[in-house]
Amino acid sequence: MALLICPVCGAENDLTAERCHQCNASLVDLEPLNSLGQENGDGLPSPEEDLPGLLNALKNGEANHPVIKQEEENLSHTSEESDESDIEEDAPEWLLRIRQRAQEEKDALGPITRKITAAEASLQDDNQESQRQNFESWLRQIQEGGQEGEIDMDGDFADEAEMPEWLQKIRQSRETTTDSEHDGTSDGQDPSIQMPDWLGTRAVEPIDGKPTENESGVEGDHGLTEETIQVTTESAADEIPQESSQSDSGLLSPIKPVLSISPEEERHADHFLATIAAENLPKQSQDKTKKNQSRMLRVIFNLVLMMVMVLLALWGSNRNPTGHALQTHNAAVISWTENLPSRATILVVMDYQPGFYSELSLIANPILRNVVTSDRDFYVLSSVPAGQLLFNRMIDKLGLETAISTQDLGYYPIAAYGAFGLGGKSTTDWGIAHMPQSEKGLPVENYDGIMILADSIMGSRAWVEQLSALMPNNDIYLFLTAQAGPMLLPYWESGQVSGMVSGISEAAGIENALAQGSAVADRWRMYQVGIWAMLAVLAASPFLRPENQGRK
Amino acid sequence: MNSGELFWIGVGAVLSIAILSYLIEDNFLFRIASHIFVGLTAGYLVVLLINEIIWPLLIQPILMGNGYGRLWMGIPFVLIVLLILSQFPRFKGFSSYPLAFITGVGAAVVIGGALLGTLLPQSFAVVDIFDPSGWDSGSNMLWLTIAEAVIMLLGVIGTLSYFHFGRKRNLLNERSLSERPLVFEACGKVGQVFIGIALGAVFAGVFSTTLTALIDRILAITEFIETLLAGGL
Repeated sequence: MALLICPVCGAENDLTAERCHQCNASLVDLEPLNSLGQENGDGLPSPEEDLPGLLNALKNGEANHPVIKQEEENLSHTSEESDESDIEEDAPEWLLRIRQRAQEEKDALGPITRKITAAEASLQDDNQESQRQNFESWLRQIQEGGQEGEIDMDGDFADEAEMPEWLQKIRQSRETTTDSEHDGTSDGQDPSIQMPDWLGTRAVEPIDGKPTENESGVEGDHGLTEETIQVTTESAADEIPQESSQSDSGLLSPIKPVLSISPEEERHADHFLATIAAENLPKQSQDKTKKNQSRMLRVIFNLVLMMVMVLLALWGSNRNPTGHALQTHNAAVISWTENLPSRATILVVMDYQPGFYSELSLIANPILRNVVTSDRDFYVLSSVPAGQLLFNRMIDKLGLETAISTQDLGYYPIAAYGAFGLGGKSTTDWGIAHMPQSEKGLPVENYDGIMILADSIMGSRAWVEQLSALMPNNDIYLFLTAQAGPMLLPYWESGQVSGMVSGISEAAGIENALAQGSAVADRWRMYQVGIWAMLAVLAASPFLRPENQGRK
Repeated sequence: MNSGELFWIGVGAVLSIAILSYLIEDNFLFRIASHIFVGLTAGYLVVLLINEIIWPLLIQPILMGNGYGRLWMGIPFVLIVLLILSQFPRFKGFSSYPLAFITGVGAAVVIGGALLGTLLPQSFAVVDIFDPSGWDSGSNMLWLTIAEAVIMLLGVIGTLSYFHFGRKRNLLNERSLSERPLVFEACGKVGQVFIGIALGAVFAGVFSTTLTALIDRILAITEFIETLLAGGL
């Protein structure tokens, strides 16, 4: 029946009334309204309209429905706003100013603050993900309860008389509509306790389209078996106290823990399981066998290599060395030795460890044989403890018949300090009054040549840097191991170094050019065998590694 | 060869074999040989420092110098005492003064050397190689000189670009904070090639040096065995 509703007091009036019978307000030009229950004839809205907006959206399968989005946003915003409002209230004024500035200027945030902000954002994402998972779990629980008939739709109203009148009306209207629409599809269950089909379907499907644990439980790409997941779920469920699960009932019954893992977590779990599986005893014995095989292979290879070298050393010493080209920086050294005056003063810098004596003696000896004579003066400066001893041994090996003049300038533990002290004295004449002079003081004079014997890049570079800058009028000649040579070559290119010899390859060339026998050339042949053997090992190493032997 | 020389050659050969036994695995002989070398080096270094530095450069001037000289030498002496005091927890803070002095002086020496001895001369060398007056115009290999200069310039620019970690500051574009400018990125790729070649050359040199040392040890052992077989004693 149509009625007129008073706009002032809300009272219902007849269609023919011109004034409200309650407040006497005018009802002219008002549109008549149907009374409650006129739409369906039973006084209630249709079952479809009775559902809340969220469930309506779920029923229609609209994951992106505004209602769902709004619900999700409400969930996150509620927690955020409550937290932020509490913090804002408690925050001091200076902190509020900083936050305001940080919002206005992006650069006001330092790297640490940015990281903290990013971490907080990540934490919020995790919380949202957790809420989504809880919601999904809740839906799944409803679906399981509906299927097993565990959900008691009557709730606490065991008696029909205790049920409110409005609820009775709703149930009566549901009975009439569901009976007419779903007749014969309820599998004999009470329609009042059966969950709607659309809700059951929706509960099985996760919102983001990911498979549920039951779907992914079958062994597939992730490698985790159904048994593994079930065991984990059951063990987690066992941790919940039984009393609490029994005391609650209905829709608000406790949500059982659900295993929700990402593919990345599954991969980590796979690695972990593989690691554990590799720790069993048969595998260990297999590894030990492989280790022994690898060790034996290594020993045999090295023994064969040494034997070949020994044979070359014993029977290959009478060959004439050929094929060693003389580099320009090597030729500069030879030229220096040939033009050196008879009464020359030479500074020798010893900057190599005793372990490199063999290589450096091979490199320097061909030159020293031409340079070292009894009428020349040698100053020896060391930046290694055994520098002076190594120089004496080198001179002894030359087999000179007459003694030479040498002066030990001492040991300087740090090469740069020694070089700076030597170079600084030659370029400046300042001194401290009454400073006592030591017997180990550095001489102030120019040299006809400075020979630097070094085994490392850093040490030789320190000498070259200081001496070329502070003593530019002195010629510097480098005698280097093969490991230091490549990085010192730019100093030759720039003219800071007057000549250099690096490695026994270049030493063999100098020996050949000066016609000083074949001592270096013999080593060179052994060296070539070693190089080829090592290249072969390097090339074969990918196939010899134990972990690669089992690969197809 | 007298018996003394043969004895020491034998000691060297035995220690070499002990070190080479590490090829099989870490063992007692290798550890013994390592400890002998470390102990000998430490002992020799202590004696050397006393003989070469502490006595002639510190003690002797104090004992034999005049009044002013002793006063000057008091400065390093005090610094040494402060450094020794660092071994006692109560006076640990005193060691910061000599360490600060050493660090400051060391940094000044090293930076000065790097600037005057490497940075400026190497930069001039890269520029000078493009000077036509230095080219041999009559040579058939002139193109090689020019190519070398170009490659050197490419290497310098590429390597410097590779080690350039600057970022363009642009508040409107967040990506600019995480990406290098495109020019530096491209040149850096070229620099990577040069750096790889340089490191490869260093590795080959290290390998060559160790192989030479191995050859020397093999020869020493062979010489010892040869002498024994020939009745060197």
